[in-house]
Amino acid sequence: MPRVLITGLGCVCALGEDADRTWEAMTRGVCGIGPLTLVSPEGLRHPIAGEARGYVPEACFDRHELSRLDRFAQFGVLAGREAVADAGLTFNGGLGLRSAIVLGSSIGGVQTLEDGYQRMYQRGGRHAPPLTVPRVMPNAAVSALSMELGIFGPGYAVSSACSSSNHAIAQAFFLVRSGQVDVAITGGSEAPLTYGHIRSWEALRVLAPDTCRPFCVERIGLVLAEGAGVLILESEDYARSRGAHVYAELAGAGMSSDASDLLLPDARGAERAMAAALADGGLNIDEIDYVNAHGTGTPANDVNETRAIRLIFGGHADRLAISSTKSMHGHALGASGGIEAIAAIRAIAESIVPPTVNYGSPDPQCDLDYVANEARQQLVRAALSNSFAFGGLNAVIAFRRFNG
Amino acid sequence: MSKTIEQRIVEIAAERVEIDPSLIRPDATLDDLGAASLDQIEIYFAIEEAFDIDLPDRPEDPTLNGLTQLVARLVAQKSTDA
Repeated sequence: MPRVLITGLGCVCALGEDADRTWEAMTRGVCGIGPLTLVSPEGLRHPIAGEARGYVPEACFDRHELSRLDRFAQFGVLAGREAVADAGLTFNGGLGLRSAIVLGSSIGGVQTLEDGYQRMYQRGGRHAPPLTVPRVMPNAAVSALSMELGIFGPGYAVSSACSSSNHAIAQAFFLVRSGQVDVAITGGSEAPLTYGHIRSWEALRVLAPDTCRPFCVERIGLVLAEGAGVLILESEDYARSRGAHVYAELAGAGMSSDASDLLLPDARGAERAMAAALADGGLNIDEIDYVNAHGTGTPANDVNETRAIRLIFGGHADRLAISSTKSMHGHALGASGGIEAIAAIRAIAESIVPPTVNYGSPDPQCDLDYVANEARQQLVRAALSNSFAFGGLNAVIAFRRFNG
Repeated sequence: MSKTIEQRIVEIAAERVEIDPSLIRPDATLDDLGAASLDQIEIYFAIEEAFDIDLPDRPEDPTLNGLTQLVARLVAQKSTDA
């Protein structure tokens, strides 16, 4: 089957407003989690988040664009623009017809919906703001990018809670590998930091009050975050024809459903998704050097994910470097897979494994090498990036080093 | 209220399409002003909010003159109802 290459990256998150700054912060083990400022902390039990603090909407969009784009779509467009520029692509001359956009989001324009409804329910406003519907739709970032860039091929959004980005990346990968398009823009974006949405997460009793500490015994829960991570996928032929710079190969994608519990994860489901990604990419277990874990920092996920990694990797599990970059950028829900793909891709491209920060004492139930607190220089021949969603939907992407 | 209804409607439209209000003729429609469909939706919304009224989906007379008369009627109706 034809190879699919990654030729561009774009990112905005708590660690930086572009992919380079985000990656550089990851290699330094910076924790981007801090006090919540987008929402008044009054009445919140856990007023912390991974906010994109350096993001200034007015610096990136004009007044008309801002009136049309919810914050989640702004992130998607911003990361999309960066990834396209990084790849050095323009979509004229017919390429626009041979390109696709597939982005993930778990909840779309929740801020627009919340502001609009609050205005009607609480403040006695009579009218819903007129662009509520196009701002809320989870495909808003896809549509905006298609119009801005002139992309006429397949465009759609994918939603599977915290796996949304990885499911989107899998879809885009299949479109390129099957030859339906030459180029795909993919990843995901999310802006979930609204009062109502944070309160809803608090009610699930899975949030940490101070910070995110995946895999260690002190972990309490996850920390909500926002941002976007976007990749450019390109067929090998097209990338070679234009002499594109290649970060890595997208080798395979695997998906599975737990079909068991709404909230509790199932190690067998996670194992099946990892196995499917390895098989799809034609990768042997012992070729994998790094796993970018789902690693939310909840008591349940991290034990379950550790068990799943042991189930699939057997003895090789002890030789894997595993890290949760959510310890640094927080859990950006449907954008997480996009941001974490960038971590895995840059790890391969630069032979540096980003760490799990805030790591305290080992948990006997999480007994693997989590690259605690400091990045590590090592060759990464191939890597997996895991996403496991509420609702039991799992998606794993496999990346391989590109040797030309 | 110092400004007339017409002045306020012209201001709302001018702000949205970014042209000088003095250049706007009362017999112009929003199409004539070059307002895209999304701009028109936002102009109708801003007029509804400014006068606390509900405009029909498609006003019969879409000129600024027509809108002014329609708004004046709806505002008068409101004060009668109250």
